Amino acid sequence: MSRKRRVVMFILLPAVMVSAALLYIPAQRKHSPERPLRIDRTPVLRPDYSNTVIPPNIAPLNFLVDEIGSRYYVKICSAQGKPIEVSNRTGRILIPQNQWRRLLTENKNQTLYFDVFVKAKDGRWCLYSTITSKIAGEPIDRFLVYRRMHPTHTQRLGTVALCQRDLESFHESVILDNGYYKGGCLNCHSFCNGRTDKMLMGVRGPKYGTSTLLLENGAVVKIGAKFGYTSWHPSGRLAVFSIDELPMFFHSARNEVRDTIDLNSALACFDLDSRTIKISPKIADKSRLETWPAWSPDGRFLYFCSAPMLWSDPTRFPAALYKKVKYDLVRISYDINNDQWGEVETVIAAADTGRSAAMPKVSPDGRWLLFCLCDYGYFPSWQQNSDFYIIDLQNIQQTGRYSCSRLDINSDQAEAWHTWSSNSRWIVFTSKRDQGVFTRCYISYVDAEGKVHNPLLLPQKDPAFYDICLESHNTPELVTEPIPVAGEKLARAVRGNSQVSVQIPITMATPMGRQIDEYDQPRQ
Amino acid sequence: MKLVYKLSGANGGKAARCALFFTVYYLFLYLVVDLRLIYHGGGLIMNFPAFFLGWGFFRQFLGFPGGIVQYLSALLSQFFRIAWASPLVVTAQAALISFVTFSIIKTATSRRSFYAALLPAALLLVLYGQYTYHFVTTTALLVALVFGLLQMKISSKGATTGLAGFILLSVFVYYVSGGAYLLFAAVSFINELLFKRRPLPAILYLLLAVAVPYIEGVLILGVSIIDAFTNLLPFHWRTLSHEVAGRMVTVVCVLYLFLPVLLLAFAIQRLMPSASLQQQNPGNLFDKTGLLPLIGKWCRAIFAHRWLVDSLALLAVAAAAVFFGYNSRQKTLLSVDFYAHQADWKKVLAAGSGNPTHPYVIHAVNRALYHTGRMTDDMFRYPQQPNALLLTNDTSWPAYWRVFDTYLDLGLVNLAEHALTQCLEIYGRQPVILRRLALVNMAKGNTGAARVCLGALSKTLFDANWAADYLEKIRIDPNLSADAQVQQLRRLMPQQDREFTAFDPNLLLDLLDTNRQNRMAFEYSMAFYMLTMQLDKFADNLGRLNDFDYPQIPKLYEQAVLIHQTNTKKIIQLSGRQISEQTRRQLNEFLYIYLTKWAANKQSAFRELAGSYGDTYLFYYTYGFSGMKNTVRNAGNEP
Repeated sequence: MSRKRRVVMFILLPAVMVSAALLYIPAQRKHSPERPLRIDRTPVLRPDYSNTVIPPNIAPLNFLVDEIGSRYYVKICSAQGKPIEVSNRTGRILIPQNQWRRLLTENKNQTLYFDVFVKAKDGRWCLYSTITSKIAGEPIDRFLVYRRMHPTHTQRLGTVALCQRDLESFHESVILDNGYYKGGCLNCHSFCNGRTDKMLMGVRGPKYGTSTLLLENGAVVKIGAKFGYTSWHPSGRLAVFSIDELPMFFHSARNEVRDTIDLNSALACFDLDSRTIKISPKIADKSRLETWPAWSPDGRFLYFCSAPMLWSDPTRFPAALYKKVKYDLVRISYDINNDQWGEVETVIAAADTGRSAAMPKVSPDGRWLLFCLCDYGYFPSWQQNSDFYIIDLQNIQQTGRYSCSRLDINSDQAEAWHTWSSNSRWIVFTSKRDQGVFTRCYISYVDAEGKVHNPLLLPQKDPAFYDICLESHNTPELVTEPIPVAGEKLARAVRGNSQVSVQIPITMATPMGRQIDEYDQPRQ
Repeated sequence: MKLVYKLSGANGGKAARCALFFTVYYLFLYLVVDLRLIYHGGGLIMNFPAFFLGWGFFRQFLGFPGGIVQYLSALLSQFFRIAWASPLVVTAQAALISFVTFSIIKTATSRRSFYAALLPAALLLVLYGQYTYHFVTTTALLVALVFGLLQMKISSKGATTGLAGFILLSVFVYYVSGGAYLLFAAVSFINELLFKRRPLPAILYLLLAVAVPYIEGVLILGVSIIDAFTNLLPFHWRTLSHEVAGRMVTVVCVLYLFLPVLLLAFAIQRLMPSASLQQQNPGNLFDKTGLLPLIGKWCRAIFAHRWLVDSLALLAVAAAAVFFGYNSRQKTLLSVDFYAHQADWKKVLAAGSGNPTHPYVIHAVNRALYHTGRMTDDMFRYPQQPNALLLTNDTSWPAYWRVFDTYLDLGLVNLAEHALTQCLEIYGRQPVILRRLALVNMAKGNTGAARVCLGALSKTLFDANWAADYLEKIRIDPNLSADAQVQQLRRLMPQQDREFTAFDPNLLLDLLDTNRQNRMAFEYSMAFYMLTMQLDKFADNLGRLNDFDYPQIPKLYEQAVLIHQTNTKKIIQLSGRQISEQTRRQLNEFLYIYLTKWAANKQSAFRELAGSYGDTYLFYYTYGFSGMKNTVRNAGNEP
């Protein structure tokens, strides 16, 4: 190429690019349609965020306009501030993050409007009925910790990852996955008071066995025991966990194929200072199955689920009895200073509801107790009819009676695994309402009266993310800060030889009759 | 003549032989191995990668070292589905590895080691002949070698330039090829230390080889230290921890070690000049020693036709690779499943003869017999085992793969879903699995879950149209009331729920309670009772024959009825049907040979009974195995 030609090219090329950009940018912006045809219905959006209450600090609610058209224009506005306009030919509405944040911050407790315009094939613009959502005044905790994995049965060769999602953006990071310790499972994780300075996390795998990781102020300690479902005492001095034996079985004609049963269980206390495990017959009754511990925020009561053990041999699957196992929701008082347990009192009796209680969680302000009711058993995730119920604990102080009410947000699919935000205004839970087998995380606002509002699907940067996502998101836990430890540090603890050996005292109450086959236990 | 002369010349001859070698290579892979079987996997290959179009899928590979090679390999591997394209991909890779190996040796030693360079290609042939999949690892190897060659060229321009090039390339090669970077580093180190004789830069290379994976992998990309150093290497834990994926790992390790070891050998040889002189010209050996002059003369004559010797050596290497590498029994296991997935039942029956007693083959053959309407008459012409019918009591990973289609054929949708979900964990997001999971969820009315499977499938290279069709069908009619396949599954699905942890034969009866016309459930339950010799249960269900249009009692059922009647002295109600005279005569003859002629001595009666009745239930009931008639006849043992 001659020098002259090169000079011409150097001049021409940027000129062409600048011209194209100048033509393209107005084409993107100047498509606000005039005099559109009004359509008397709301447009079909994926995900559908209409009529929800959204956190003022949530990431942009990107969505797909599922209407046929050649061009799409969406205007998002509220009482204050400049509206956000997005226009394109695909219907993939990617909301600019800074504009979105500004709009939400300026319009707390206001209504958010989404006007969707679609250019039809004949060239006319159509305007659908406005979609509204409400912006709440209270923010949600910034981080959500959950597991990401295929909906598994018994094989666990795929990746199981414990992830941390920044709810204010779309950033997701892997805290630990089973690749770090040559395969296996990552079990339940629990945080103390919604913070990450104290955390327990269960791991198990063929290479490094079963253990529990304790994260305490940035240090990682491996405990040589399996903690089941765990709840931290608010003081951070102890954690109560379940010891259980949970074989899986399957159904030949039910919609959810998987099922499980708690053959034998009890609750135990892990004392953080002495690094010992203590058992009390009050929470480890040999004749009963105890599971799902949950402390009240004042630390005075431990809520848990308890059912009579209907079989004498806890090593055999009781085919005729498993559907008869229905858990009561109970509580027991505890004095941490004297290490004294009170008496177990029934909160919700299975005999009254005809259903089985699971996963109680008390809101951090102590006002609400949210739990699941399903037809039988301890594991609501695999019960299609599992629904959320709520108890106003303040009301009990006045009436002396426990009464629960079913939430309106329940769907005809399984709802489970809920977590409260530290301000008690938000819950995140998992549901199969939209995609059956694949569990997704939903966010719901809980107002001062305990009304739980329409949930919104955890937003993703790519609005079509869930359309092809073959993984489930489960066991969500809201936390106010990120986990301060890197995956390799956690993995080094798992792989390392050093561990705190703890003995679970074998009493008449504890189900330690035989070694549990860890690999038979459900993961989700 | 001129061309022949040219081709038989030093370089032209090698090029021609090389072209011939890789043409035969291609044809062998295409005509004999059939790489489509590796794509299909049949549950025996668990590390074949899935590939999806789109940025979202690509982005997953950007976050860890070796991701780029993994992504490209996954893309290229999809061509294993096409019969002619797959050998092309593998042959091209083998040729490139050979070429780069040749070039590296030439650059380092100035030798033209043509045959040494072809050895990696021969090893690759062994891998594919054994029906193993290590394409990702060998692609990483190729990338490491290509950049190793580049580094050698750069380092020839001086130590400083070489070091700078090594640092830059290290960052890139490690990111692209993960643990295979260590091979790049090893080749560069050997070249620098032993051929360039520059120890200081060589030591720096060594230090960088440790530092780069740690800094880039662990500290920057945040992968575990194990993955940082071993991802994409043949001995990565994911490969070694699974017996199926770990087959032939030794050969891949040899592939990785081949070039460094060869370079070391050449370097050592350089240090011993006399030895190398002798080896450079073997003909001289004989001349100088003066020993065995005749042999020397003969050798000279042979070396005068060096191209002939070389060609024969090449042929010998290729033949050895084929002989030691080709696994026909594994091919049978893969073929029966491959053809079964295509519902090409005749080919299933034909392919099954290569390994007829393997449970997976028996399972596929039985399915083929059912679909060709021969199960009730010809089942015992083939070897049978009770557990092979539905692979009961087999909890190995391939068993999950082998049974899901059988369960779908039967209507055991939840069992199919269970097996498919297990397979999703074991084999990853293979289109074969996703298609069936979509179908299961559509049949069960889980359109949300079905959409997810179809959505994923719509991003694949070859199943996107199928998925798009179904997504459109769901959009128009979420109930899919007009879809024949979905409706067929719904007709067959059991209504009565039953808990199970392993296969329970009552599940088949549940299918018949739901749909009396479920012919496969009937034939499989009867086959199960016959195979497990539960003839009381067989007799209890014989009345179901009236639900179908069998013209008469099937031959094997007649034999079972007669055995049961003889054993129990009970008359079985045949609903107006009659046992044929031929079957009665057959029983009498069988009993005569067995009881009268051989005095109930099973061993003595075996040959005669196997030759005449080896394909009957009478024989199976007596001996507990079948498929003997042809075997005995072929062996010339017929009495």
